[in-house]
Amino acid sequence: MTGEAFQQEAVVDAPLIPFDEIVVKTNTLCDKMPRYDRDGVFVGGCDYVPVAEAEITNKHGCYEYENNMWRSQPPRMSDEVVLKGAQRLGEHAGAHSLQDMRVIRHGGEPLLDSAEQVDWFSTTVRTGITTQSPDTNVHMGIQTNGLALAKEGKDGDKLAVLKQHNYQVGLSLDGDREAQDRHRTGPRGESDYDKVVYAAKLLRDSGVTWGILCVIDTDNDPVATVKSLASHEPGSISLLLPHANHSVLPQPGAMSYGDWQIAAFDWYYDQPAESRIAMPIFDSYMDVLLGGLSKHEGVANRKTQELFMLANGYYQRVDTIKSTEPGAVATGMSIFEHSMDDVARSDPGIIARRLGNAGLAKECLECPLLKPCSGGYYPHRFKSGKHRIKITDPVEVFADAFRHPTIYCDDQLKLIPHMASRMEDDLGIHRGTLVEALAGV
Amino acid sequence: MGMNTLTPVAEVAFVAPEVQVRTTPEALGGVVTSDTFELGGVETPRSLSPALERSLGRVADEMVIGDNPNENANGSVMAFQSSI
Repeated sequence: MTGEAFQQEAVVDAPLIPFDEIVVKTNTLCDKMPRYDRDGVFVGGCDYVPVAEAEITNKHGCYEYENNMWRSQPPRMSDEVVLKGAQRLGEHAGAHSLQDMRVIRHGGEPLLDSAEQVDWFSTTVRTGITTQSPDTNVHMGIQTNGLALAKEGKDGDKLAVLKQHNYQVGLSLDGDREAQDRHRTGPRGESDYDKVVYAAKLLRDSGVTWGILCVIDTDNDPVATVKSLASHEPGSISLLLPHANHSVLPQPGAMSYGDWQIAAFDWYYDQPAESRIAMPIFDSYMDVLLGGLSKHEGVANRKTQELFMLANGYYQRVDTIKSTEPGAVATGMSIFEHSMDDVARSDPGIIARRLGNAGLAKECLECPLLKPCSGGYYPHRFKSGKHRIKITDPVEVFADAFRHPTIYCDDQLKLIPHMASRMEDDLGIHRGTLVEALAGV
Repeated sequence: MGMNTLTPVAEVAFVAPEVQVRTTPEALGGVVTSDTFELGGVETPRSLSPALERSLGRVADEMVIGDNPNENANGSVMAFQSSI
């Protein structure tokens, strides 16, 4: 048995790590789905896809990741699936005595559902969990493009339901008008920036907890972008790297992703105490540099505790892995036949992602930034092999496909030492102290 | 910048021994101010970035009271974030 295989077996035998964040794909469709003309030319909609792929295939947006799994999904989650899913959540929370469980509505666009449907879903899920696990605190979240909220206005029923169930809302907004219109137009290519900004105002005025999720485009000025986002007074701003990997490269732009993030970090780091805006990704890096834990799925070597439930009732690994290969994201297991413990115990993709250092590339293990970086965000480590990954492949195949430094490695090598230096200067300690201390742990 | 007159409940040494935080009941909860901040055990009034103060507070919480690593103090984080 090789050393790696031994470690993997040890992981399988280790105590089961429960899932405490469940992302529920309640809606498959979206009101910003990409549209094409009769000649197949992209007209409008959300066009996030690695640019190399888009240029080759003229396929745009999350709907066109090559697996196209959404085509096999029902338009929305049925009541039967919600009821069974809620039972599975409660079963899992109870079995592991979870203190907290977060349930996030995702899509597609999860606010295509009516207010009554969102209300019923929220009550059903909460009841399903607390009936079997009375001590679990249930936190509801949702990720939206905001158009449905803007359409209803300040007295809208959907906004009221989000408030009633104490939803934490993520709004997709990429910066100012020019930035937003680069990738997130309406389906006919029209700007819907004003509608999204109106949704931001509604969220701010409603008192719900909300934040902005922004995908970085380095053609947008970093400081102008974060200033524009901050002007809407969200509780948080998360700056996300576009999905890319060793087989589908990142979009080149006006500056490197590392320099872009450094400029944004400096803006955040220098904000006065009165500023109430958090930047969770930067916060997690700072926490890890101080010896704390990452609270963000994309930062450091956090063993994934996220699981997806699809509209048809199948479990899925974290959705962003769709940006790699079809077999890398599907589990082939359903809520009607399998418990969440079954997934944690036997899904090779989940097990591979929880390998810790055994899942990292040799150059990462030898890197001084091993602890704070840990190879970077998991989907960004992917490299295609000779054969496409299949659901039935063993753990080793999954592990090998992701055992590479992030495609954003050069950017990480700039960003993390810069963050550490700012903190060290502030603390009055020698530069390099934090990274060196982490390396010695 | 005045010295803290509250009784410390714990002293937290971070991964870098040069950084220590003397926590107080007020600090537990995610707020570390210059009043509860010490360098190498020597009380040193120093103006910190508010973002760094909050980070020190969160990590001190983890070390002292074992906060749930997935539960953000201000409730603003979903660990999985994808805006696509």
